[in-house]
Amino acid sequence: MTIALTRRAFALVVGALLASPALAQDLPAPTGEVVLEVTGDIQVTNRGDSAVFDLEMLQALGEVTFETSTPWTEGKQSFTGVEIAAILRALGVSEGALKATAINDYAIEIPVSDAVEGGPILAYRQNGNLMSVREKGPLWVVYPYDLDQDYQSEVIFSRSIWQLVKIDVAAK
Amino acid sequence: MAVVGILLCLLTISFLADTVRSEVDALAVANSDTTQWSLVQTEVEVLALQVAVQDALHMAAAPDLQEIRRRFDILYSRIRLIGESQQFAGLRQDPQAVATFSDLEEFIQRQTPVIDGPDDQLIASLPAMAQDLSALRVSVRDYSLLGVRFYADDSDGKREGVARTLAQIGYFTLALVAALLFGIGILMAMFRRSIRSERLAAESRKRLEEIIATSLDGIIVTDADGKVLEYNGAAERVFGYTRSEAIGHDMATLVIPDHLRDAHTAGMKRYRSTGERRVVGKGLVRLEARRKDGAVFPVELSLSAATFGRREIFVSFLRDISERVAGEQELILTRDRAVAGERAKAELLAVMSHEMRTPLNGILGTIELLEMSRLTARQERYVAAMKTSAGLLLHHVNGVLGMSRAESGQLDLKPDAVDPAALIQELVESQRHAIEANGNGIHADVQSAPARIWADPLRLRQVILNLVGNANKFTRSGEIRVECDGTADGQAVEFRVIDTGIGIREEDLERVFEEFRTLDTSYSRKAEGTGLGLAIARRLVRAMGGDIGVDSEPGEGSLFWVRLPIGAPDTLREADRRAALDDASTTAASEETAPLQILLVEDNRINRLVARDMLESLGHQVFEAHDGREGVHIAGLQAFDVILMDISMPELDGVTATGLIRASQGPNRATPVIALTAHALPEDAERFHAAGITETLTKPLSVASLRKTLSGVGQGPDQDPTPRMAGVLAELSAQLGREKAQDLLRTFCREGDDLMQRIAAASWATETPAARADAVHRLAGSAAVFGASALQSALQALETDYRRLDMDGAQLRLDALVPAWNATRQQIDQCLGP
Repeated sequence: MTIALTRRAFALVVGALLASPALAQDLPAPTGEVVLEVTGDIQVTNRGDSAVFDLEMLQALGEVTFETSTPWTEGKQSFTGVEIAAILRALGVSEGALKATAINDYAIEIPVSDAVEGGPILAYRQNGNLMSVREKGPLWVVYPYDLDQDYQSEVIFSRSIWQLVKIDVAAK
Repeated sequence: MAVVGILLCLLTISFLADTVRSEVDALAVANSDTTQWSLVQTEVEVLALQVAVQDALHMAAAPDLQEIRRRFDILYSRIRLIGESQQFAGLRQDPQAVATFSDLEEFIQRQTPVIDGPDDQLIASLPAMAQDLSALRVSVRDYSLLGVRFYADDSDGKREGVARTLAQIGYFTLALVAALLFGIGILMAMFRRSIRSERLAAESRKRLEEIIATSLDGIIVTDADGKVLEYNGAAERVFGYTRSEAIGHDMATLVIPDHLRDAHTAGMKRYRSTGERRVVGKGLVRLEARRKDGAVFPVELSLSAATFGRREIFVSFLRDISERVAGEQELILTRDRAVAGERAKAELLAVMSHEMRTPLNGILGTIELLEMSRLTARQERYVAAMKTSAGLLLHHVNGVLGMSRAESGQLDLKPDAVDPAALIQELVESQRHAIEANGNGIHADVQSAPARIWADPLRLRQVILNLVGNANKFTRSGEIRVECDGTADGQAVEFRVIDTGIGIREEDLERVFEEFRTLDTSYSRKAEGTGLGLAIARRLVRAMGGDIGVDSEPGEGSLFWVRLPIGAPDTLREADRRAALDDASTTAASEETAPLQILLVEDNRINRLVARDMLESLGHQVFEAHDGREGVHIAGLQAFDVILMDISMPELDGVTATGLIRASQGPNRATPVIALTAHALPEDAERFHAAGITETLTKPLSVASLRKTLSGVGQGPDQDPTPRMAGVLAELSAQLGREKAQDLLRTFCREGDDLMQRIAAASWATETPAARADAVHRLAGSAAVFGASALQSALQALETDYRRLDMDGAQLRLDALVPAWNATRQQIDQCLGP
């Protein structure tokens, strides 16, 4: 009994320790061109109520690269970016939905539950090159479609928003 | 088949379902709606760029070039999307779409240098760009509409494909359902059938159980190890164990008796190791079994083996046959008793024939002798009456014996040529007196009789005589006719004896031929008899290949008929007959000149007397022995021409005595022996012959039968190797002269007489044995010279006894010496002449 309690207490402590860096870490101000603005129910901000990111800041959250084919391209493509999960962690978001908006005002809702390790990323490089607006840049939500049949649904395809500029976080 | 159909359906359906799933997946993966949205969105982006350009033209002072560039980039990305995306791969194949899309690409190529150029140039180009955009808008619109039409068709096709697949699934599902229904139907039918067969099986099982339970035979079912599996009620009754006591136990220890258990164990072992079956499946086997109380009883066992899968069982049907075995034993006992009774009857007949014939022998023989003596007329009548009575008695005895002989199937027929007319005439004349005594007349009608038939004349005569005798018995003051004629086909002859007597009732017609049958008391009173006559007649007639029958009308008379085949001469028999006739005539001629020396062995005084007189009347010389022992003794002393041997004697019977004579080295070992017997049974002849008896004479003796038999066997002198006295004398006469030879013979005669006198004197017994032996030896030497071999051997035997000091034996030989000397003396007298 005592051991079980101790274990539970220990787990709580460890959990708190793991969660605290994100909260404690203040988001630096962007130095380059802002590529993404996150608003809504976020714990961390660096410009008013929003959190804005330049490319460097995104890269700093942890760069990820994977290869996949997509319905919109021909052949396998290499995508490099930051996991949405990493961004949300940095912003202290753990639940709710993300309303993602593109330059052309295309908007789509992505549930926070989609943002898992090894899941969708905000890609900024395609085949090693930064993506211009003409190439669906600067940011493109890309799921590892080839990894999982579930990522090949119409819903996921609709969530694969490109020319992303803004995310509005809505807690439940 | 149903199962295969179902499996095929299931396979097809699962394959189609997979197809449908992949097609549905395809629908889920690529949705033409977003494609069309993309096309429309391109149009929107053109409009947005157009608006941005119009705004810039209106605000010439500070045109928002960044907005224009941004919108251009978006449009750029849209058009590139159409050019690259897989979503539009299908549309890109459409030639009309290709033409339209080239407008879009050309716009991008045309305007990109402008957008990317310096601001002032861009501003300067805006009016042209606005104009270009208006044209582009039309192209984008066209392209978008083409897409709508194309993707509508495309999704229609896909829908149709899915619908077709679904329809196929439907058909196959239908087929599957049908197959399943069919399968269910079959299963139902099988189920129903199995229920029915189960019910039948249950019924037959019940029936079988009922049969086993009510079976009268004990049924024991065991496994291969002999453990009892099943045991019915009858087995409970038979063996005494209850069902619960028997089930599961070893059958061998329960019911197999100790003395059979080893054999059973060995048999089971052999069967298990080699499969060889000795009792199994071999039908009924008779064995012994044991009851619970230990009693062993006979059973009949039928054992069969059956195999259920790998298990083998043995089914034994056991029946207690104690009662049957007891019944069988009783039957055997009864049969043995009956056989013993038959034997006793046969023995009684033999004894009776002997006991009756022996005195008859005496009576008839004496009467015959009496007839030869001088008698008064009255005495002659008395003798005739005695002879008739004795003859009748003999007739009855012969009837019984004839019956027993006929019964044993050993009728000895001697066919010969017979003249039926003569036979009947002779018979009628011989019976006329007796018939007329009954006030009857007799008449023979033989005109159409065949001249000659082949039959045993004695038997035929016996039969006809019997019929005539019967007719006379049952007729008073009537008429008897004897007829004979040949049948139409010439193959048979028919004799008829017809009377006008009392007749026979119809129901009795067949019975008259049965043994010991006299029809009623009135017959018996009128006619005495054994009732065997007609039965014997029928046997005789049938033995001759004919038949006998009767027709009768009570009160009117009877007609007995005898039908016989005419027959054919037996050539061999005919030859025999002629030879026999020749022999008879020659012996008849010689018998007067060759008197025989005959030894008569007979214990009965009267028979001895009769036989001696008869033999002597035939001119023979007779020596007597009073019993078998004496017969053997005398036969050892002197050679005889013939020995007449009575069979039935106390102590040593005739058969044994003959055997002893034949086995000895005596002078009569080869002499013909004629048996005298009242034993007339056929089986005796074999026995007699085996003992060395030459001929058999059945008592009572008659002069005729004696003469006939002796003429057949009385060839003694020729067979005897001993030289006869007459021959010796002739030889001596030739050598010494007649006078000298006769002198020698007289000397021998004197020597013999002297010795006989000396022996007869009382002083003989006081002489020393050696002196007696010497005296006997001297005469023996003389006897040898004159060929008196019987006397010589008798003297030599006597000498031997004296030298051995065997006085008892010598005394016996002395008694026999006297007749031996007398015989020799007689021969000497004959040789010397008067």
